[in-house]
Amino acid sequence: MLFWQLLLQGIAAGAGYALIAVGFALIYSTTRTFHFAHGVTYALAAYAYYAAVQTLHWHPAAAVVLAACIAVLFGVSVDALVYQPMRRTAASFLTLFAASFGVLVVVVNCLVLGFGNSFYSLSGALSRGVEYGPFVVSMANLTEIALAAVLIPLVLVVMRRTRLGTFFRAMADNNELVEVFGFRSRRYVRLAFAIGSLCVVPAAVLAPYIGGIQPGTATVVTLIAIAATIIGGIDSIAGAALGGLLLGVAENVGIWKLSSAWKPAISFGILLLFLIVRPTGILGARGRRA
Amino acid sequence: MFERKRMQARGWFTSLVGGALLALAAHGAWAADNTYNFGVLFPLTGPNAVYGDVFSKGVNLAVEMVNEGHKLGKDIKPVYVDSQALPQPAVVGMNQLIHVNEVPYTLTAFSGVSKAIAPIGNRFHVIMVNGGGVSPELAIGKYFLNDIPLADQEIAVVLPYAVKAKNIRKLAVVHVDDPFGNTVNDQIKKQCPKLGCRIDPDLAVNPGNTDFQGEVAKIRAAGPDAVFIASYGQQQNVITKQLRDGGVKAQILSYSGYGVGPTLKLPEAQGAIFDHQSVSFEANALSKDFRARYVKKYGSEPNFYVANYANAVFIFADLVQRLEAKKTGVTGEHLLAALHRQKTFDVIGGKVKFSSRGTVTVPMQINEIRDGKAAPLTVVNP
Amino acid sequence: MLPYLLNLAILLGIAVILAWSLNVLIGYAGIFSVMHAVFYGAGAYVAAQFALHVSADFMLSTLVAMVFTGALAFLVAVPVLRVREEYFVVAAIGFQMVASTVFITWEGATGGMGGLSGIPPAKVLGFELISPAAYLVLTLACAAVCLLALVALVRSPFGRALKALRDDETAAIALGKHPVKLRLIATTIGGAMAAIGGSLYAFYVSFVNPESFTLDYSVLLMAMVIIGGAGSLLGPVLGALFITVFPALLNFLQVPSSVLGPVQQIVYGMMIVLLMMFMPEGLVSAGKLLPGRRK
Repeated sequence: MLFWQLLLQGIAAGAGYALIAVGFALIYSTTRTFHFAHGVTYALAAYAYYAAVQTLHWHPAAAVVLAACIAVLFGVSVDALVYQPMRRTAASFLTLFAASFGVLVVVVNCLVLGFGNSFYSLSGALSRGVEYGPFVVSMANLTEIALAAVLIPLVLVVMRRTRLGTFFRAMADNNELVEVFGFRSRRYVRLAFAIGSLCVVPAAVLAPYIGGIQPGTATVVTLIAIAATIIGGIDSIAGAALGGLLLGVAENVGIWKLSSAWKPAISFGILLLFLIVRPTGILGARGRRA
Repeated sequence: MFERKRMQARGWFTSLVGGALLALAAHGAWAADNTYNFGVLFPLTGPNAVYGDVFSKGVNLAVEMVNEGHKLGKDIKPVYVDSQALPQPAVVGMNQLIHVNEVPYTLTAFSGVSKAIAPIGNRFHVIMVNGGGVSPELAIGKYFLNDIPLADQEIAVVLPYAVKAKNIRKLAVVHVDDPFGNTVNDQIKKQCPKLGCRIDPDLAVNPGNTDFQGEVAKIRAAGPDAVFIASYGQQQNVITKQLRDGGVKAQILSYSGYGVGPTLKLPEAQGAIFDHQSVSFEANALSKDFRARYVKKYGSEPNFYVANYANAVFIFADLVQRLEAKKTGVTGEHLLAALHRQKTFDVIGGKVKFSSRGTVTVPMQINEIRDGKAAPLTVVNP
Repeated sequence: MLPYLLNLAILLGIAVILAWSLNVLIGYAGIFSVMHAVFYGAGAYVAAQFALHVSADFMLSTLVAMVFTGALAFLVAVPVLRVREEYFVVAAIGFQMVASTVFITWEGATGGMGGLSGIPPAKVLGFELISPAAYLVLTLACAAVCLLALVALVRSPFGRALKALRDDETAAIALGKHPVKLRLIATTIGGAMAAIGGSLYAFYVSFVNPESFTLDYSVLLMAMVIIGGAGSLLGPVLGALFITVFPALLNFLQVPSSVLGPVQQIVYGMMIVLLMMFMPEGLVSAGKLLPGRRK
């Protein structure tokens, strides 16, 4: 009984991780950028939503739009201001990573200065639990699962069936060749960042209703997104979603018998295992050099 | 080439910084020394800032009252340092208070913090007074004093009352995994069997953790009659809220830390039972005066935390006055000697007397949260 | 004032030792390790436990800490170094997170969040070091020992092999150097040296808990090495100087610590971003290990 309840919670958490991981994987596979600041996109969207609803008393729908705009703006800006100049100088993978990490540190601490180190959450119909027979689940959790179930296949369909998706996949395969054919890949890089950043918004907006938000969340979220992507298979967006779901379930079911202090260790333990034993991940595509 | 330029730039920068530091050092050495300074190590920011806020109100009013009384040769002055209720920043802060501000007396709070700074205060002979942390481990050295009753007293009072009043057979415990939470948990584990109740489940949570869905699921599965929450600050609010959101309807029990504004006002905390020391603001002239001034200054009633920290300030002033009378320098050693000579002090709530272990034994009051306030149910004498 | 400066100097000394130890990995062996705080912490915990239960003799405690941490570094390096370059960073972070959880949950060894308190003062040749001045002398002595060791390392055949590996891995392999073996040894040395820093810290503050050994601190150490300039002996010193003095300066200006922490991080975060964007030469670059620079 407890097991199934935890499993349900794990699926809800995994749905959130999957959304974030899909965003990260989209950005990585098309632009080869290890966007370590991805968790910041999440945090900014969450705080924006919270501030709009709680302090400015906006209607939630308007707040969601605000959060989405901020997420997209941030993702595209970091790319334009930090990554793109570095790409022009053929910066290495590690250099890009360090710069991305620097961005994470700066923005997270700006959040600390602005909002303080405290923890914020929202109460409402979304956060209250509803009893379904022996289970209790909150509307926020159900919404997260529903949104993930709709949006992730949507992204996959876009990747497979649309012109845009074809370009994305071409860039992932061979960026130089795409340029040779005259297509301005710069525009598509921006689009990749925009869409990738947009992916985190559903999870970010629901976060204040579920676990709440703190500035430190950004780092944890980034790490989970990376872990999910690697576990799922670094070049596979479906893999990233799968990885996210797996981590969510593992974390929550894992504490069935363990103390919840072990939650982070479970996720990162699984990551380490994959890195050492099967770095290509579950849906292991060919590994690539940066 | 870039390398050399960068090295040059860096050398330059370093000398600039070094020079600036020395200039400030000279200025710092000038700082006026015409007050009796004492240290205050509270969480001024972070998820537990609500306590620092309450404690500070008591300290500031007491300082005002002492300085207005003009019974001392110099004014007393609190030096505030933010501990964030975390041991590491507290240790850094304590070192600063001792070595830079050179205080002989410090106020502290939170068990984890106190446990970390106690060896430092003991080593450098600085008195530390705790008015908020309740871990029974806090009888922790010559220089460490508690003017709040510790958790062994609390649990020995609140648990028997609640078990009897609410007929509790099965008790779930959620405690934070730190010196405070673990020792309170030990106390509960000791008391429960004596009262004929069982603990199921016994859950430890990380400080700073804010997602308790797993814990709530486990508690719901066990179906206890009551849940004891041993946490503090924002975390105890989150636990309470997520318990109710998660469909747990059992009675909530807690300790003195539950008695702060945001927690009392939480709709989900309605009906919770908790205890704290009983402080009478009618006990003597000082108490009445303090209460009147507090209400006037802050627009709300003072509580036991306020009283404890105000008392710590009054005790400091009292000891300094005695040292002044004997023309003895105000150092930690002399303050401690004076304290042992004096033994009993007239403070808010009546007389306070420190045991040889640096603890106090006082009446405890049991409350129930009704409509955002703590309604007293009964008082238990030691 | 003087005690304040002494305090600062001691913390700086510890930071320099840690930065040097990390430099062995980043600057000389080309291992982009963002988990160094784990070795620092392991050294601190071991020294603390030794001092609390066996003997407060500094050299003995530190030696025990070094052996333990060196062994730990070796054991960790064996699987983790096999991970591919780009993933190595992620693996290091993952390992740091797992280690942080272990520090918090393994209460028997680390005291959990409450930590280990009341560590007795360090004893050197029978004398208890209580005054900050005496402790500074100890710190400087340790730093000197580390410096000598590093100089010897760089000049040794091992050091030359590392440099060859760093400059051109393919050529080095052709000449019969074993990259994995070399990196393993480098990691072990770096870990053992970090334990010296850990031991100094534990005895000085007389309190250790998991908060000092988090991912944030690993990143701070990495920043010291990068900002100062990896692969040289002076670089980490400058990096440590900047990162230690700057917050102390803010502290002195009575900037509240809740603002100070974030501001410090913002400053060095910006520095990392700008350095990476405009002056990455001399720092880690594409697929290669660090190009050579003046020793």
